[in-house]
Amino acid sequence: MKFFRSLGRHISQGFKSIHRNKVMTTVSIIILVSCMLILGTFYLVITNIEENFNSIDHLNIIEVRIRNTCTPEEVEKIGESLTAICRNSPIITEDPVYVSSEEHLKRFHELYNDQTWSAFFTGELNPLRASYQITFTNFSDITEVVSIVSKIEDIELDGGSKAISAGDISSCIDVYRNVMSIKRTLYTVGIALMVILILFSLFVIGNTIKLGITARKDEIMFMRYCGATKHFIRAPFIVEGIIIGLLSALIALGLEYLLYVYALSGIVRSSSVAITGGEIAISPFSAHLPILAAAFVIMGLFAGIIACAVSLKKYLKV
Amino acid sequence: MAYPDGTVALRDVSLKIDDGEFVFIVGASGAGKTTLTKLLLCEERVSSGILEVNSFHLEKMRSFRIPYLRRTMGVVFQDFRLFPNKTVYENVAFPMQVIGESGKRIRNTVTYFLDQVGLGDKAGSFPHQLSGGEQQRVAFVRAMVNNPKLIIADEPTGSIDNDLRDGLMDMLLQANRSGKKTVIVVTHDTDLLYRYRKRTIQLHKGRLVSDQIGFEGYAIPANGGENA
Ligand SMILES: Nc1ncnc2c1ncn2[C@@H]1O[C@H](COP(=O)(O)OP(=O)(O)O)[C@@H](O)[C@H]1O
Ligand SMILES: [Mg+2]
Repeated sequence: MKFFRSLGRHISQGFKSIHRNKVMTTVSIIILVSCMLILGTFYLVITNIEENFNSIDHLNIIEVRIRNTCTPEEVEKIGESLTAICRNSPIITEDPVYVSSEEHLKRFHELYNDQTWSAFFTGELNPLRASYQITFTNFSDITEVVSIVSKIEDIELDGGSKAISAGDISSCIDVYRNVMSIKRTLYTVGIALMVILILFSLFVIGNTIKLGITARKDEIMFMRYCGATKHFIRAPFIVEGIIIGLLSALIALGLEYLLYVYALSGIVRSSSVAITGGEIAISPFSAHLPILAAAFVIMGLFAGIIACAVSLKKYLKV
Repeated sequence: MAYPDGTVALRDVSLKIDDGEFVFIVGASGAGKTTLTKLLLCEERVSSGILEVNSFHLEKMRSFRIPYLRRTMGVVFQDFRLFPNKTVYENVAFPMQVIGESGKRIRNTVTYFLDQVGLGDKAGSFPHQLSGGEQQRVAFVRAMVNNPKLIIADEPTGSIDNDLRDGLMDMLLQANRSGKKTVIVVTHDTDLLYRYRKRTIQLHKGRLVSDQIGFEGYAIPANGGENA
């Protein structure tokens, strides 16, 4: 009973203090919100790109090209070795598929049928080599898959010559490396920005609380003489910190939503075309809402409570 | 008792004030009077020796219990220290709110006390709308609402005129007489000491130099006594 009575008082005192201290509170919230938006934006961009790799077909295929000089028996042997290698690995779940050079040409014409230069390549003049295609599920496994498939380079033909050399294996590992480096850069920049802003927001919130303490110095002094407990005196400030944190989380979520719908999705879509050559599907905001909300609330509470605790420890002697 | 910087503000002081007593504490500036009241309120802790106040053993009390000690005491400040932006009612209710009393109890008590000192109709006024005497009465009842056993007034008459001073003394005496409260008044106003012949404790340079009923001048002149 007494607990709830006091809780009500702390909450109303917290709001009063925020009202009295509008400017600093607003600044605190703006900084905290920027912090959250940066985190959220980087997260949304990165997850959207990642989620979509698997849906871009050509990325998840490794091709082992066969020299034109190979006899059908040799092609057969390469295929058997490859199948054995693939079945040996838990990551690769499908057997290699043989695609003849005619088939390649057909696909090539399908892909570029409206382009006049594609007509140069005909059945007699077919530069495309037959290949084995190995399909795997997770694009992020590509490095490992490539290294497994590369074991085929050890296979020797009857004459003692190597059937496949490194140059015959083609994959989108470069795309993967590009994306990884972009992701690393994004993360580094994002985390650095975030750390700076978090520290800054801790500082500003701490100062907001400090101002509140100073404004209520006499009152606090008097409360101590009246026998108010330490918790009772501190609680309104903690409440103030919590309110700042939660309010920031709420505002950041709203802004992130607008940002996502009106700007980010377009940017992600066009940059994915640039990076991967395929357009990716943008997931709806609601798919990310729970994790963003949780992250923002935790961040807000963390910043609010930590800054508040430090300020109280420093400036409020009870 | 020594302050962190090494100043020994009180030494070898041994005294007992019984429940219901009215005591003056006198002494020159720097004698240690304020330090003594701070010890009673546990704002400072004794460096050695023992101190018991309202059955709290202060020399070994854990700090989380300090608020509960303070709830047994009322402090009367020199300048009334009313909150200017709170009404009379809110000012008086404040000490009850901060120890978590219920709204109903607060309403009853505050109304009762304000009526007692004839300020029932001023409950909604702000301090600046009151006369000095009225402000003083508000400040006094504010120190009384939590029903303290001990009232401490550190130089309460320092900056106020004679009428206010007499009004305050009347309230303190009445609280002592009919309210059965222990009252400790720190002062260097000798007029008061001659007029109200009460137990008077004299401090000088942190030592207790006299403890008797009534006052017959300083036991040690304010300027000398180095070798006493
Ligand atoms: N916070 C403090 N730190 C160090 N010394 C102090 C402090 N407060 C008071 N003193 C010293 O303790 C002595 C007693 O002070 P005080 O109790 O305030 O005297 P009084 O109230 O009788 O004028 C003085 O010498 C004073 O300088
Ligand atoms: Mg003093």
